[in-house]
Amino acid sequence: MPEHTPEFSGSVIVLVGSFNPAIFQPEWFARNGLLPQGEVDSAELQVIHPHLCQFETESFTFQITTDRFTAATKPNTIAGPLQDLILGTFYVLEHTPVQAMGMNRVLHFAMESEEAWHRLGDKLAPKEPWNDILKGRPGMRNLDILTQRESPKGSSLTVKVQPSLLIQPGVYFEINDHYAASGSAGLKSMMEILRNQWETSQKKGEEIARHILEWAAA
Amino acid sequence: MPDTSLSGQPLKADTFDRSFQVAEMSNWRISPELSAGLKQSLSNTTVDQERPDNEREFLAYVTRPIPKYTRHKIAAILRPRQLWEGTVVECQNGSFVARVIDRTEPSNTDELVTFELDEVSPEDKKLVQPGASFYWTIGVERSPAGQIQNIDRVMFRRLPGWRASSVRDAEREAGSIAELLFSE
Repeated sequence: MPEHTPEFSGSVIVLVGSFNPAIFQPEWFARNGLLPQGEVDSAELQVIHPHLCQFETESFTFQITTDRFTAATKPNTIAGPLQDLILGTFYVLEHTPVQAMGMNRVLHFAMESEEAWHRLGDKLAPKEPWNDILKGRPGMRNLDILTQRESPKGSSLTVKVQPSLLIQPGVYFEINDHYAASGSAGLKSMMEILRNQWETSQKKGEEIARHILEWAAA
Repeated sequence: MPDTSLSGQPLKADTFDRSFQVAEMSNWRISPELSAGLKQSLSNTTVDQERPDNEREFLAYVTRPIPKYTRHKIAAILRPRQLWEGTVVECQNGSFVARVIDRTEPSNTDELVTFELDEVSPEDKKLVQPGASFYWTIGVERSPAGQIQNIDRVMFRRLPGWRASSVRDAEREAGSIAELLFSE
């Protein structure tokens, strides 16, 4: 069986806490040696406001609000630099209150046929209960599967599956590896997890998606 | 529980033609209050007199039409084939030697590779010194026009230096461990 390779993939880190969006302007990242000056000079600013900062550079996209920091890689780029960027950013801003962190992997896979695409949806969400009551052809639009982990406390993994909007027929997977911070050392504990678990988490995301695709094709 | 997910792909038709990253970003959630305000402002054509001026100004700003050149910008798409992580071992005249670890096939043994400095971007050249680490990617890049080219990219890691206080903390911790080990 051929190995499933995503057509588009990306990595996203989300921190939930208390942030000052006005700080996170592209120039700030260059001044702290976190992004090359050239990349910052060509950054595309979308919104800079006391409540929201949104911009993209050659390698990353950012959205920062007062309660949420989100940074993503551009499609199909390697995930390591995003980890470095976040570790560096919050090494500088070491007193930022953080309650939770999500290490996310997003993947778009092409399906070999529309039939295979429907088979995946039908296997994940059987339509028997719906066929008698809904007219037409019911289809799966979205599926979220959550698993709570015993350790570390408050951590969970959520897998979202949707029809891909970029590839038709295609399937979209979004894997959210969530960690909750406890106590006053919230940021420190989250950065420790990011440092130690990032690569494993990203690989696990792909492994889950491939497992589901192989299971559906079997 | 705070939500650290992305809540899926954007489901608005007008995001289809945007580049992947902009499309993804359009669905990232802002705070519930702002989100509610945005939704209301997008669906409601009346002016809400009760809304404070600063919020109205903010909503007008974030919901302003995005210029066409931004909406339709599609970047080249890279498909990495192989990734190595390297550490500079020695700098030479116009080149450097690095030990590289295969991150795609971790079972492969480490190798020593000589890189020309010309392979490094001008801004990364100042980072080339013994001990510096970098990513080395080989892949295929597809341009917006559909052209395919093989690419080989060296990207130095930008990690912040140690703070004096962190060094002092580490020295203090090392001192305590040493005291514990050699106290007898």
